[in-house]
Amino acid sequence: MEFAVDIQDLTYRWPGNADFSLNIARWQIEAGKKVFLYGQSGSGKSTLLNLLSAVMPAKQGKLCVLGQDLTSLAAAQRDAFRANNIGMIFQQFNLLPFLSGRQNIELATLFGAKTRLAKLENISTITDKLGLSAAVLKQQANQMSVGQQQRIAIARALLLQPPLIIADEPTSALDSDLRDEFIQFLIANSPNSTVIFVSHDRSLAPHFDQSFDLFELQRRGVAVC
Amino acid sequence: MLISIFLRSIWSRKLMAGLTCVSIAISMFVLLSVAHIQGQIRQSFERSVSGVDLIVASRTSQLNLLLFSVYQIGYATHTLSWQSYLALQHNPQVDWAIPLAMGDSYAGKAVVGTTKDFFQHYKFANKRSLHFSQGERFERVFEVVVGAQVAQDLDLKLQQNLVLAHGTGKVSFTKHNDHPFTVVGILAPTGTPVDRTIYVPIEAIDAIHAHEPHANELLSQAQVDTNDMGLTAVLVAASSKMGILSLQRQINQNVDEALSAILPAVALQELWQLMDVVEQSLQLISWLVLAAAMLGLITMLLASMLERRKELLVLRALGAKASLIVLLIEGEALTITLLGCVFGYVLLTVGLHVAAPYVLQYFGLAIEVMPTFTTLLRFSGFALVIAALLALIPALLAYKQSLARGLQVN
Repeated sequence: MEFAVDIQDLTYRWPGNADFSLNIARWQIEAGKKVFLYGQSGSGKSTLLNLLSAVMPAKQGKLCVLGQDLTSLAAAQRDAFRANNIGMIFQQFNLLPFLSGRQNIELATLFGAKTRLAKLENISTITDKLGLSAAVLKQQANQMSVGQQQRIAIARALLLQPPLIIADEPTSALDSDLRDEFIQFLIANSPNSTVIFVSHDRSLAPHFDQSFDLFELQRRGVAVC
Repeated sequence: MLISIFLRSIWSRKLMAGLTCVSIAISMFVLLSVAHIQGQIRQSFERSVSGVDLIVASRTSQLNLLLFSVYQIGYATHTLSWQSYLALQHNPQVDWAIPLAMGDSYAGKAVVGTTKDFFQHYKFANKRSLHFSQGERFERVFEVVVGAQVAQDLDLKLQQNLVLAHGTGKVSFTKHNDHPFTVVGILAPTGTPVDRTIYVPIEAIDAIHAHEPHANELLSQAQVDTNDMGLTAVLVAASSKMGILSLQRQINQNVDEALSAILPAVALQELWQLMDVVEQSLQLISWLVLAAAMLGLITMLLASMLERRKELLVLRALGAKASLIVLLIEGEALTITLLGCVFGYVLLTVGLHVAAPYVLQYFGLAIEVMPTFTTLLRFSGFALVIAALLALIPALLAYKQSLARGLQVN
């Protein structure tokens, strides 16, 4: 079986902060699964996401994402890996406020190695599905509503159909009806991608194939050790 | 695309960036203008006298002598007698000697009495001779030759009449109504005090002050009242360049009348030494203005750090290297500084175009209106290097932070 994420004995300590560390003994996610990860603030959520998205280097243990051992990659390689394989959505600060909606979506092609000009045709397909009007696409991001901003963020994450999509509390700024719509859209439009959806709102878990509790993941890790 | 993002990012902070840019522009303007005007003043002073080996006047300091004889700044406390001039002229070591009698004015322009030889021997800039744009040298007592600026300011034409006054003020109380002069020559512009001067035959100076009527006779027939005649200075060329110093010593030790002979270049050197302190203070101030502008730049960069952090977060998530922030901040510092330099240059050029006519009119300094490009490059280059170095502070801070915090904002 292919794993989108394969973690074994992963340990991470923030430099200069001995109090907090992340320990996961084993965590595997099958490719193509839509996964809910429950994590409260302070649970090591940000640390895990920084490691999964190859922003921070994993120093101890095994961290394989999409079959690539991230611990063996240099900083520049990790950045290229992220550009080519991972789509990310955050709670806020998804968009560059001074760019238009369309320009923000096009940012997806900025750092990837491959020529993605063809993919730009996908923009209209995706924005149509998301109900983003031409007016919104022309608008500057800082003049959009939060809902519009999040839809632009999804459009960008989906544009290149990356094999892994990481969403970090993308719905906490949204109303509850928009929230369900957002998740359904995300799942429906990423048929081939693995989705890791992180939230502190357990009520969202039923939308997903599997759900994990980061606190449990860590405790199990400690138990195994 | 990255460049357009970079420019839009600056544009989104246009007020701050604009003000910083303006402060750099002003500092470059001050730096460039101090350097430019300093150079121009030197050049303007140095071009005013050329081909004259010695300037002789009644005993005074060499700087004072230079200033009143060539630039018409200040005045001579004593005059030099006609006999001393004749003695100079007949001195075997002297090639030619030209008398200058100053102290009169017409409509605020200096009136200088001299001989026809002046137009032949006086040189300016790189040994360039005087040329007439209209007319020719004076041949009669009541004829005048005017400088280019005088002709322009007073709208003088050939054959026009003027009445010369005694004294150097704009308003003269004792007008010499009895002697109307005729303009017979207008000199081409030189960018020296010559442009602001009215030249009359030395014989006429005598006539201006004497109250009995004079005939407008040919200069060859006119007599100079040798007892009465007081000269301001005499321009002297030595017959051999080797003999200049001995001639100078000889004149300085003259027993009949206390005289001073100066070498214009040496006197100018003394002037520059005096000016050095002023120039250096001005330079220091202009550098301090630049330093203040640079601190403003860094303040602006530091103030924009939080916004930058969010911006970088988005780009990082999309696969940007952490070092991109160093490029963005450095790029911003350099862009703003470069724009500031360009604006400063434009400001100076415009300012010079506006100010040059006034400077020429009131100070007699001909100022080049286009500042030299090499000066611009030198100062801009310096400003850019300083900006790049200073911007490393916020850039490296942000880079370190970005590495340490990953995708967290706070």
